[in-house]
Amino acid sequence: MLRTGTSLALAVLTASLLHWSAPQKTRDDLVPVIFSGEALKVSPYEVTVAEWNRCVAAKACEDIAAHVARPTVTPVTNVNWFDVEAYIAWYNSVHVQHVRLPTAEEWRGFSRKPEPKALKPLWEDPRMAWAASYGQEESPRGPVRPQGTWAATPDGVYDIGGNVWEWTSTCAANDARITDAEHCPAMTVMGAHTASVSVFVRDPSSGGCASGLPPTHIGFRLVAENG
Amino acid sequence: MTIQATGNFPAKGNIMSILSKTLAPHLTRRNLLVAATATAAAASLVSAPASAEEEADIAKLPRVKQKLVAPPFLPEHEQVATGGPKVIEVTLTIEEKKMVIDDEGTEVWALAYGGSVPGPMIVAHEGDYVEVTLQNLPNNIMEHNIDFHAATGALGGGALTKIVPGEQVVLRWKAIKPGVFIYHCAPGDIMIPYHVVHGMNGAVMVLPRDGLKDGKGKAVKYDRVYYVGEQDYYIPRDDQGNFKKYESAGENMSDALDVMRTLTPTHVVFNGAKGALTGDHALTAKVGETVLFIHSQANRDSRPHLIGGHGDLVWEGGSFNDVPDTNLETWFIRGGSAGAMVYTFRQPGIYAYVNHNLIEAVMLGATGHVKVEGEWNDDLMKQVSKPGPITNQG
Repeated sequence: MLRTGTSLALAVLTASLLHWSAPQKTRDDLVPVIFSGEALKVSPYEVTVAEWNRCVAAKACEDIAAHVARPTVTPVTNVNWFDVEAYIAWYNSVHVQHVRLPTAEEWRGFSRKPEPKALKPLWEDPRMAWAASYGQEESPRGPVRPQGTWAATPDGVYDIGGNVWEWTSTCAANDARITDAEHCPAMTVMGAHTASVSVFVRDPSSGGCASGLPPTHIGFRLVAENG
Repeated sequence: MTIQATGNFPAKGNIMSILSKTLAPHLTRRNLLVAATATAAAASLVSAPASAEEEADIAKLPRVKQKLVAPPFLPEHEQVATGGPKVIEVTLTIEEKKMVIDDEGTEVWALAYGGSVPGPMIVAHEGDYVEVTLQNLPNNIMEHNIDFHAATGALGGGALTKIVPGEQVVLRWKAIKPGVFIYHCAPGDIMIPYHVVHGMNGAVMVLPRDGLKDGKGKAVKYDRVYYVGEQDYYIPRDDQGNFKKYESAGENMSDALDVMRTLTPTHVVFNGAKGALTGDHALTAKVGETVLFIHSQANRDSRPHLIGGHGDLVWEGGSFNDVPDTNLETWFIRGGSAGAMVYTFRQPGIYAYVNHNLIEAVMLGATGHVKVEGEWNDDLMKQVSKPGPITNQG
């Protein structure tokens, strides 16, 4: 069921041609990815400022990304969980093809990073687990860069290894009973390393006193609602 | 003695025109020259020996060259002085250089003693003489000097050390007050805060000859010592809100003065840049080791706190003649001063050393980390049960 190189290239080309046209009735830019026996249609790129601004124009999203030199190729960042929810609700109200955020597990699947990178713990003592990954995590820094700056997976999903982390629909709470975003205080955010980010946070990059490295920027990537 | 030594610096004419437009009229290029000449005259007057006998006595003292190193490290030094007073010779070069101060690539043209922000720490013992050769490198474009808070007279030496690019000056001062003190550039008027908030400050530690003592007179030995120099920056932004970049030192003058006037820094960082003391650059220690932390802030109040530890002994105002406070959670560093803290680490792991204005720590950059090796002590702390559902709501 995996796509051949040719059709994959076609899919990516189609994506680049159609990605910036007016809102489409169907998302033929989505890239099919197969993992763990499941098929998922994934956007090859993170949602851009230009796409965000359509939601702003429809008065459904906050105008938080006004000043960007190349909005059509710049991922939108500084979006918190509620911003993303608002975007998806708007998008699904004007498109036939509904979209959603991926789960953390789906993200690992289409990113071709099935397991978080094994780290050599600073301390083996389980009582030191809270500090064991210090300094081991990668965190690409710097300003937001145009889409495609970072390489694509074999399926054509770009910028997985970049400096924009992506919201997922997976709650990061310890309590396994908290599963819906309504009651979840922090969501799992995926990127160069896995992070837990409060649903209110738009810019995590300041970091600070916690020992782990924070994500540099947070944006989001959409997948098709039904496979 | 002219500024022509820097005539080959491409942007200089431009800078001078900005300077004359921006500053009070007495800081024109011509008057800079006049000021420099007057300084030289003053210096030659003061260096005339007041007492040939005293000078001869000082000449008999052993002379020691101290090799300065970039913070957070300190030059090699004895905690307890062996022998009598010495003359400690140090060379401080002044470099105007572009530095990146955060992970977004924000730049500042730092005015840097020893090429670092903060400048290198100088260590002496009470009764020693510190003889500083201050050099203003030829490619610089500004006049500089140095005001040692540890020194006595002539504006801390500031009045005797004004030098233009290509010049050097030698100043000797006697370390009569044991403690930690800042030094900073103070070339006059608006240039004083301008230079200080462009990184032009550092610290001196004058140890008692018989070393540090706790409040009961017991000797305090440290296994490691770190110098944390806190710096507030005021970086101008463009119309889009992005931090502006400049071609040369001083070019940001009028923009920077506007930001400085708000008293609201854009960055508050340790050792020159956000992240300078975290990750691969985190400070290190071992359980059981006693670590001396010296914290300086040349311009603005701060309140250091070691997350997960304490200030076992704190000389908050910096004077080693004072009885240190004990077991502080947070201590205060007055703007324009340095303080010292000693802590013996009891648990391994990561400690955060922060300015406990947490907005400054987390959002503006004032955070460092200490990575401590050793064995965890369950007696001091234990996670009795892992996070889980509330079992019996109170």
